[in-house]
Amino acid sequence: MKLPLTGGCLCGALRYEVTEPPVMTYACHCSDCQRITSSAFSLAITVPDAAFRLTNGEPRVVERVADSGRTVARWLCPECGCWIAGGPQPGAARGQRIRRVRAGTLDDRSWLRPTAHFWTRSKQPWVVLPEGSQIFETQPG
Amino acid sequence: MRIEGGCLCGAVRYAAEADPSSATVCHCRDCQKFTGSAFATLVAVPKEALTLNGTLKTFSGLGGSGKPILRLFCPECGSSIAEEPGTRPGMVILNIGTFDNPALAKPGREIFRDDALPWIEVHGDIPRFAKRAG
Repeated sequence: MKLPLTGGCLCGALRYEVTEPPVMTYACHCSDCQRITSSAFSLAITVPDAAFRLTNGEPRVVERVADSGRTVARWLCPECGCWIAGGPQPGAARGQRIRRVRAGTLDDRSWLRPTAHFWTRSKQPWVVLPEGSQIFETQPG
Repeated sequence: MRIEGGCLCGAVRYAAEADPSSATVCHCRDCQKFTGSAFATLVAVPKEALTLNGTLKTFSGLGGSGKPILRLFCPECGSSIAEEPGTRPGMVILNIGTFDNPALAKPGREIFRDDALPWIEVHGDIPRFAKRAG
């Protein structure tokens, strides 16, 4: 992995960079993630919010109450609809906030490997989880 | 089989007569970006077999074939709903994650496996193509 990590949406209107290594890489198989990605799961890296910076464009911010009961904000490209990141995690002290970045929008995904899978109780049966993954039926505590 | 589905926020709903028993798992870069995930899972239906309620926004790009591909998404919540590839006039490709019951879909082939994240494994004895199929 080479820092800064860079990425962006499909049409290129939104671009971002991440200047610190991800804290975690995970896949989420919840039904909301299946809907919004339209795929079988979402794929995310979590990074310190202070290490994330938009370098181009203005996202559309959409808020929604998730299955977990938490309100999550999503940053979308208004032009091509790509979901590039979440908002900064609410509640945490400034400086400890993390941000989830949608890993499919990274320019270099060669190093990407989730170590945890969330909400596997709604996982599609044909997705094979790599051996050694941490598996959570719902959300980790 | 009748398939019903829609976006995350509910602004867009659809119903289609489709056969989801042989879906295509596409690992191409554009599908990774459009989904924000590792791959798209796709079921093709003739346009006349699809009823849409709500307004979709469209992004036009170039597909792997070099022909245009329209990507349709909900302008409210961003959910990726469908594609209209220039290579297959008259067809709409639905993305199975927006089905009310995505488990109806079973992968029948993988394409653009060259771009796949190396840890992705799709279960089943199905054809797998490095690029486009055939």
